[in-house]
Amino acid sequence: MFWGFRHAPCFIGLNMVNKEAIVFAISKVGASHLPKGVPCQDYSLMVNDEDIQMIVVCDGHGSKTYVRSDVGSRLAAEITKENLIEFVNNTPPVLFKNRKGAVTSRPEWDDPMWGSAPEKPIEEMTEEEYMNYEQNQAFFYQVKDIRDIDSVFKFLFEEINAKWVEAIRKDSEDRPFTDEEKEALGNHRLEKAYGSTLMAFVKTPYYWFAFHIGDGRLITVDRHLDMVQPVPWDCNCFQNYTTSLCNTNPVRLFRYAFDGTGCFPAAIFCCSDGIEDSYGDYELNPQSLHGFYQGLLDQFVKVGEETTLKKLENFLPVLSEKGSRDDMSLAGIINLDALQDGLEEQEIRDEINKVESQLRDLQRQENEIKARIDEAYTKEKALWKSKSNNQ
Amino acid sequence: MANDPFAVEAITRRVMPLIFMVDTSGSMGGAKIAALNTAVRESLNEVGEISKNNSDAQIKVGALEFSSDAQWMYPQLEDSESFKWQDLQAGGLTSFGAAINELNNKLSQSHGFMSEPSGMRAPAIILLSDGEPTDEYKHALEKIKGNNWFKIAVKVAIAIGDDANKDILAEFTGNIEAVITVHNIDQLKKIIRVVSVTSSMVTSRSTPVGGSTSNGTTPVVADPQTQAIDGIQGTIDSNPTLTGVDQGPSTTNAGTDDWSGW
Repeated sequence: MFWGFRHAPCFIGLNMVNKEAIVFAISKVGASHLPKGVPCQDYSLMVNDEDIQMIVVCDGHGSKTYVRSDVGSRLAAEITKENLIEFVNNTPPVLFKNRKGAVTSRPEWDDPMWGSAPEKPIEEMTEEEYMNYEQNQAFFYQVKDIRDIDSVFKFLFEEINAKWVEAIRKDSEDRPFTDEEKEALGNHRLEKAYGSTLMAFVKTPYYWFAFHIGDGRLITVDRHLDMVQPVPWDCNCFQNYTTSLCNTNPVRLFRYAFDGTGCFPAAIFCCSDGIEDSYGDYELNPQSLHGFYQGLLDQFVKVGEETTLKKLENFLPVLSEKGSRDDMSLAGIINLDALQDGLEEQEIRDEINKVESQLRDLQRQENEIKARIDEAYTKEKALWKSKSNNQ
Repeated sequence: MANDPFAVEAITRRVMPLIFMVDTSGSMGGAKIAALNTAVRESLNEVGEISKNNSDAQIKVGALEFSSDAQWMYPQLEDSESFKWQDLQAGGLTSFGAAINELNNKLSQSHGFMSEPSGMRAPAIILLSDGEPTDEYKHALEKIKGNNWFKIAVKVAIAIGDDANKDILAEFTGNIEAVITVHNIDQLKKIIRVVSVTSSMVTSRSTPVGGSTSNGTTPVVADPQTQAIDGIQGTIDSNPTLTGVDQGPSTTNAGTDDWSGW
């Protein structure tokens, strides 16, 4: 069986878990943490098995309250990995068959009956209230036809969160907080000590899904090198503020996307905000981060996996030093076969752009020369006129 | 050919807006407005140097004056290294609410200042006033408090004399410790420099620590407002020429205002 559309933008087909795909996960300590001896608070991992490919990136928070966020991010990633393997093994793929969806954070009151009623007139809302209102509206629209799948994902997120809380409790019992840690944590809940974001992408032979709580970026690339964020953004993640596993009721803050139509991205990148912030504001200028990914894909094709990953390992500390100075994590799943055509197309597009730019320069020069000639003619005419008047 | 992904030239500096909100009502006339004009102009030279030598962010400046209405000195943020401060004149009422609404309009990505392609950092907003509003400001203040850029901004108010309503300034900054009271021209000049430079340094650099938000989200790095307040406090405490400048509720030096001549 083959669910195929020859010119579909994604890579289509069954059994798309391609063991030849490049799957990687790299985390590097940030330039601002190095001199202080602060450990890397990011954690990333990958799985590349026959039936499942997975990348997970967690970013432990940097503020002094989050005294064990390096542990929190590691536990979040490891627990997520175990849960996702179990999820994929125990969930009938038919649940996702020919269905897809993308769902933002759950409103505080997930009640389909009352969900659409604004709490106060729109004209009286602050900017923040209006953004949350719009986001809540989007949630109800997004889940209306997939409530069964939404329940399955909600249960998965509850499981991950419950196990994470259990694991951090155990860590705090096994290694009691030092006086210094207690002072930094103050009266905050235990979860605050371990606060972390979490994002994951999972690819099986039949479907893929991704989820995210907090900041960082999860981007998919189609065979034409077009890049999108499959998981809707949460308007509450803004600048240095993010949703997190350490929030009260974090389960509702997970957002997700899935696709069981047989349409697979050709590449997926998950990065922590340390990388994202080094390329400007993604909302205003996504091309900057996209350009980095495009260059990376090009390198994978031209110099191969090993060399590119080695260069990437060496580059991330430099990027941190020159860019955000934060910890850096990047994980990816790349199917080079699917991207080959796109990269060739892109190379031709780049060449066309280059030639067009040269043409514009030449046209500008031509116009300048014409203007100078016109000016010279005008002067010459004026000279003749004045000479003839004098005569 | 695709870009070299390992070239560091692609890394850009974000823009940090430094916004002066200046009360130019009638009571600011004479020595106060003259000192303010001189002090801000001189401080901007130093801010320009900070911006020039800062690899984390480029500092751009905006100036909003308010009296009977509110207006910007320039329609866009201008680079601090080349900013030309135009002398402000005093006269009219104190339309604080109108000024807040104007600020709210510009703290926006879609139709305001916050849309530099290289990305933005949290703004630093310095409010200077010697009196209290003559318009209805509460509604405007409530509205701007829902603006995410305003929430994360460093907000410091300079109360010019004990006639300034410090409670209202604290409503704006969200913290009475971010209200600095000066009592004479010399203090005003010095504190404008301290506040401008400290706020610029705190907000224009990356990697900090602390704080919490009303919507329950988690600050992954420091609360710059707290850092700025601590920095200003440290400078006031350690600099003998700033003796008499009050931080927080102004009681220690109340009644010692001297705004005569300059």
